[in-house]
Parts: sequence; C-alpha cells; structure tokens
Amino acid sequence: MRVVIADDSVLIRAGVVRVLEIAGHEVVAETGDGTALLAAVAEHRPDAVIVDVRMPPTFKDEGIAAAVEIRDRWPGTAVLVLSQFVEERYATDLLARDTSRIGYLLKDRVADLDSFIEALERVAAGGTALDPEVVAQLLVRRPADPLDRLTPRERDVLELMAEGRANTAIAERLRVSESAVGKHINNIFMKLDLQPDDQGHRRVLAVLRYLAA
Amino acid sequence: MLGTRRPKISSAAWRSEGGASTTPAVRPAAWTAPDQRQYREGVPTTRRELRRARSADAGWDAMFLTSGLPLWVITMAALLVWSQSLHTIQHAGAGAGTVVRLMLSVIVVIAGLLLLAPVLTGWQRRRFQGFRGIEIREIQTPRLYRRGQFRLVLRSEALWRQVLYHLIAGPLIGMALALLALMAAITVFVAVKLPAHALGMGQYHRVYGEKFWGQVAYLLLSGTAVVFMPRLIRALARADDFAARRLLGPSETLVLARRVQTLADSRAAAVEAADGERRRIERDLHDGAQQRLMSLALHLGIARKTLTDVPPEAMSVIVDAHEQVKEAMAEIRNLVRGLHPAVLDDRGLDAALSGVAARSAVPVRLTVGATGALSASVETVAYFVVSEALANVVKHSRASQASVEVTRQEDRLLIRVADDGIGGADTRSGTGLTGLAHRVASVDGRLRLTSPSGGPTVLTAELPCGV
Repeated sequence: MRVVIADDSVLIRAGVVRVLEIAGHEVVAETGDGTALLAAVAEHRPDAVIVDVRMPPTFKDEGIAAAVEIRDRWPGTAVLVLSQFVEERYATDLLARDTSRIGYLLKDRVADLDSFIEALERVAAGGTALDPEVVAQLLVRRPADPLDRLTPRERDVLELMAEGRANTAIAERLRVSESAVGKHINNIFMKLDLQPDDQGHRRVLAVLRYLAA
Repeated sequence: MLGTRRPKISSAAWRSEGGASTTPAVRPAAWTAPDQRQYREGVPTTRRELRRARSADAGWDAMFLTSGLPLWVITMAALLVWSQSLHTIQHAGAGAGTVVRLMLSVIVVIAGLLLLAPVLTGWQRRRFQGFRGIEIREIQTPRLYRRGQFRLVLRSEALWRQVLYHLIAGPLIGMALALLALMAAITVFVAVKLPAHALGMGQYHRVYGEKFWGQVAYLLLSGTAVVFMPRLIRALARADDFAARRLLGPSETLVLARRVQTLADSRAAAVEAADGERRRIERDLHDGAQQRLMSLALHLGIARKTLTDVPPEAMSVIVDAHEQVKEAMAEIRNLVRGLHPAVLDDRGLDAALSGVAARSAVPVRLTVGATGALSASVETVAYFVVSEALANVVKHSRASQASVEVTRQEDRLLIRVADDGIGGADTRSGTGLTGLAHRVASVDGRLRLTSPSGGPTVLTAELPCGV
C-alpha cells in the first residue's frame, strides 16, 4: 500500500514510518502541514493518507480540514486521522459525507502495531475505524431513544460495529462465539426497528443511528 | 489613616498622661516627612513637652492655613463685597442697580470659578500634599472652555463641589484664621499697653477712651482665646482637611465605583492569566512530554513486534514497559483534558463537553442546548464546572448515573449536574467543590448544591454571560 504521512513532529513521523515499513507498506511522502499534504496527495495519489490534527500554521484542526478536502477531491483515497485527542465534533466533520474509507484514532493506538495496521488496512479497504473514545463521546450525547432498550452486551456489540469491526473481530474481542454475536446483532436490529433486508445495509443504518444519536 | 503624615498626639493621650493607660501617641518614623519637618521621636511625657509639641504642631498648622490665604483671597474679597451689598440692600432699600450689580458679580465669580476650578484645585492638591501629606486624588472634570461641554459643566457634581470649596469653605476658613490673628494681635497690644495704663501713664486713656476694667475683661477673654489658640488653629486645619477631602477629591460613591472597577479589572486579568497559563501548559505537554511518550510507546511496540529472538524475561520487561507507557499517556491525556482542552478554543463549550462526559467513569448523559455566543472566560469556567463536578461524582457519590445539562436562559448560562448517588456533598468540606465555588464566583456566577443524605445530588451553576 502506498501511504502519505502528515505530522509536524519529526519524531512521531519517523516512528509511524517505521511501523508502516515493518508492515510492508510504502511511505511515498512525508509532510509537516496541511498544504504540503494536499500537494503530496495530488502528486503521488496514494492509497491511504495518515494525517495529524494539530499542525502548522494555526495548530488547531488543520488535519481535519485537510482530511475533509482529500475526501472531497480524491474520494478513492483512504484517510486515517491520528491525534493526541479525539473529539466527536471532528469525527462528525469527517463522517459528514459518508462513513467509508475513513478512520479517526488516538495516536496511542499506533503503539499497538497489529491493531493499528489492521485499522489502516480496514480503512483502505473501504471500512471505518473510529476510536472507542470517540464512540464513547458520541454515546453521552444520546437523547432517550431506542438505544436505551439495548442490553449492555448488545451495546458493546454495537459499539464495536461502530468502530467498523466485522463479526469475527467482535466475537474475538468479546470472547464469545460468532453465532452469539450474530444473535446480538439481530436483537439490535429488532430493537432499533430495522427491517430485515440487506444485512450490510442494516448494519450501516444501525451504526449511523448509534452515531447520530 | 490616609495621609496623616504628622505624628498625632490625641487629646486623650494628653489627658491620660498621669494615668496608667497611654495610647501610642507617635506614629512610626516613616510617617514623618524629614524634608519638611523633623519631628521628635518618642512619646512626650511631661506636660511641658506635650505643650511644646502641641504648639509646634499649631505653628505648622498655622503655616499651612496661611498658605491657603493667597488662593482664597479673591473669593474672600468677593464674599465680603457681597455681604456688604446685601447689608446695603437690606437697610437702605434696594436700588435696582445694586441688585443687578450684585447678581452680575455673583454670576461672574461663579463662572470664573467654574473655569478656574481645575487649576485652583490642582494648587490646593499640591498644598495639601506638601503640608499635610494628604493625597487628594485627581478627578477628570469637564472644562468650561471646551466646545460642547457647557451642559456637562453645569451637571458636573465634582466641579460644583470644587466651586463650593473655593467659594465658601476655603474663604470661611481663611476669614476665621484672619479673625484669630486679629484677636491675637489685639491681645498682645492690649497686654503690652495695660500695665502702662495701670501705672498711671495717662497717654493710653486719651487715645482709646476706654474704661480700665473693660480693658482687663477683654484681656482675660482674649487671653483665654490665645491660650487655646493652638487648639483653635488645629481645629481649623482639620476643618480644612475635611472640607478639601470631601469637596476637592472624588466623592465616596465615585471612589467606590472606581475601586469596584479596578477590582473587576484586576480580577478579570487574574482569571485570564490563569486560563492563559493552562493553555500554555496544555500546549507544552502536547508538544513535549506527550510526543516523547508517544515515540517511546511506538518504539517499545516495534520492539515487541520485531524482536523474536530475545529471552522471555527480557520480552516480559518490554511488554511491561510498553503497557506502562501507554497508561502514562492515558493519564497525561486525562490531565490535559482537565486543564484546558484545545477543542474548547476551536469548537466551543458544547464540543468540549463530550470529551469530559465520555471520560467519566460514571455513565453520563449530556444535553447541551443552544448556548449562543459565550465569552472565553465563561466557557472556561463552565467547562471547569462540569469537569470538576463529574470528578466529584466519580470520587464521592457512588452514583450509577449522572446527567449534565447546559442551557442558556437569556443572559445566564445554566449548568446542572445531577447524580443518583448517596448525597451528603457539601461545598465547605470537599476541596473540589470549594474551588468550584471560587471559580464560579470569579465570573460573578452562583453555585448551588442540594445533596441530602441518601441523594440525589444536584449541583447548579449560574453564569452571567450578557454582553
């Protein structure tokens, strides 16, 4: 996979590059701010972009703006946003158009090499990777709604679905069988009044319901 | 206290000189003005010393009062002329010309004073500063000679008070002083002449044509006055102090208003400085410690992943270190969140609260209504309130659920944090809640807490956020 990295900290950038190289991915360009990132993406047309949020010149949310623009101009490019803090407001910006090919994780997660690479590949394959902390932030905003009818276990499942994980991964994480996960998911669909049609479609709707709440 | 530079000998001290208790009569040396007058250190003990101190004071006071005379002389003259005119009108009947002249002169003098008051007041201010060490603070007054300030001048309470001093208070004190001086002079004169008269050196009789015993009575009376002269002079000086403080300086309301303004400004500056400091610490941690830890965690992760041929003991150390550094990162992240999250500046209070609520170990439901535009200081305090209140919920309440509601009601921001815990919280006991109350008070907000034993606990903060 060809990747462009944007982070103003050389230290972090070097670390991420090494992690990617270990995983067998190619870093085609490294930049330190949003403008340079856009230029690099235009030039190299990478499969994925890894971008930091706080970058020069304003050290506010340059990375988010750049990510949104990349998603607008090059919809095929996967974007993984990394930050020392995650904020649901930024997540909402990133997910505004659609929820595919986008990831938003705490930088801490990079230190867990396997799950980080897994998240990057998932995003590049068209999926979503949201940090559990973002998900938790979105959760506290929920008004009273059907989500309250979910059992704690069902909520765990939905949370993992929202992070973009497949049933197998959910089963692994919760240490239950895959069929049990399937059952939970069906209960979730029922409780959220999602009629059975296309499995994938219902899944996205459930996650969106969850995130939008 | 203010401005009494002279060592002060109270009459109480003077009287109780023989008794057991003596009030400290002399102020510390710092209060004396060495360049103007060296005053004796130590408490005067004998009656003679006291008297000397008193008269020395009176001499100084007399000089001080005399120094006012040049400034009062014109208005004194005006007052005398006016009283003379009034007298004439009263007794000789009013010729229209006299009345008109009187009124005209009153208007001219008052207009002149309105025009000159700032200058005269400036001189008086220097006089009081120099002689008495009394600082009369300057006030901005409208000027009669400036365009468009005529109405302001007529309405300026401060200016009229100054006119009152320059026209009435000062001159009256000046006349009283002149009267005292005259009395003293006559007393001396009579006292010198009377013995000659008594010895039958008949010149005196012819010149004055008064009875001998009348002279004696006058001498006794005026002599008494001269004995009390130091006191009278001091009383006059005090009267001048009093009048000047009341009439030349800012009124008490103005002083208080200024003080309130100063305090409000300095408090706002202090709050702002503290917020700025939090922001700076947040940035420093973000750019420094957090990145170092991050890099450390990355490298430990890489080691964990790539080192295949290390002994298991060494690997377990690496794994331990890796886990610990990740925990440290989480701790710093939480700490920084409590300080001043960057998102508060970028996206406002509503956005920033998600993070605090999500971080809480007790599940929180967060509802934020339309808050409209808020000042940075109100947002910071509101954020701090929610953050601290939730921290308290987690620490003390044993609650299973909490809710945070933020709404705007006209010019107030209402924050309500409730939990279903055991209650019994008190703003006086918990340091967290005390700090919270102070923080809320720093923006003139109000904090209320109801927390009956057994719960539930409801904390309400009301922050004014008007323009």
